[in-house]
Amino acid sequence: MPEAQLEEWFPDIRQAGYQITSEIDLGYNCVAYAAEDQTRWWEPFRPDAYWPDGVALDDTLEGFVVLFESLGFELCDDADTEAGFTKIALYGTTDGDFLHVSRQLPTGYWTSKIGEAEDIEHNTLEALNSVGYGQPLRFMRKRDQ
Amino acid sequence: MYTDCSHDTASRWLRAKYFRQKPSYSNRRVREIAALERMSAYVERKAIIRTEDRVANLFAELAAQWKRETAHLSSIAAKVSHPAYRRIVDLGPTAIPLIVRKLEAEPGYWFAALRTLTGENPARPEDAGNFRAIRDAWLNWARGRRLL
Repeated sequence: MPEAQLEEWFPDIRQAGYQITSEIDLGYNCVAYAAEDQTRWWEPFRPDAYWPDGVALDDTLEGFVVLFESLGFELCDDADTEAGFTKIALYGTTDGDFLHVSRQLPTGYWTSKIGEAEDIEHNTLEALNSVGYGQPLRFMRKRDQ
Repeated sequence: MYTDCSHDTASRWLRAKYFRQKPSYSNRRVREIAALERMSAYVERKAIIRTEDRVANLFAELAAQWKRETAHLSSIAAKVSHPAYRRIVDLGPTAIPLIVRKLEAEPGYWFAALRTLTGENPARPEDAGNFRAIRDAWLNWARGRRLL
């Protein structure tokens, strides 16, 4: 995807700093990427998409919190780096819609799969604040193995 | 469905003019009528081609808009509720060959539109989430119907 297109979707991304780190791939979305699965598109209710057995079908922000809890994450207070933990940030709207999830890298920067486009590294969470993604509203962490 | 109003009107007028002059047609008149019929068929074919071109152009514009405005979204539900996608579905079965050719040329989440327009789903339930497998299933479906 041209950088100009990314910067149209995310008006603050250039100033925050980012880099594209993969090719375009429709095979997985941000949820799968946060779950470290690059083979499937994760989404509830869709016949074209994967959703883990045993996790309630719920496409709200809280529904995705439950999904990531089933994968070993727990809610935490902030996005600050914590030794021994991987963090994720769930984006959405204050109405409770889930729109995106980013995963923290050991450097403290963040990595995201942008819809059906590329993976990117972005220096801040706020880089993706936008109409399409809302803002980071829930933070979760998982102990590194 | 495939009509061109101005040509239809002209064709009806010409037919009415000639057919009013019944009952006995000379050989010359018969040849003129045959020529008119050929002309009418030609005009109709051209009108169909023009209509198909218009639909193809509209599809291309809507598909480009859809991709530009939804490729960053992580939700198929959000993608397929975009107005451009819904307008493509509203084109009806005419859109099916356009969609499968687009799907073959450039990957995209066209499966919901194809399910709606065809009433079928050739993808296996166990392939849920596997874009490549679902795309292959639809392309094979299209080849089986000589749409590709």
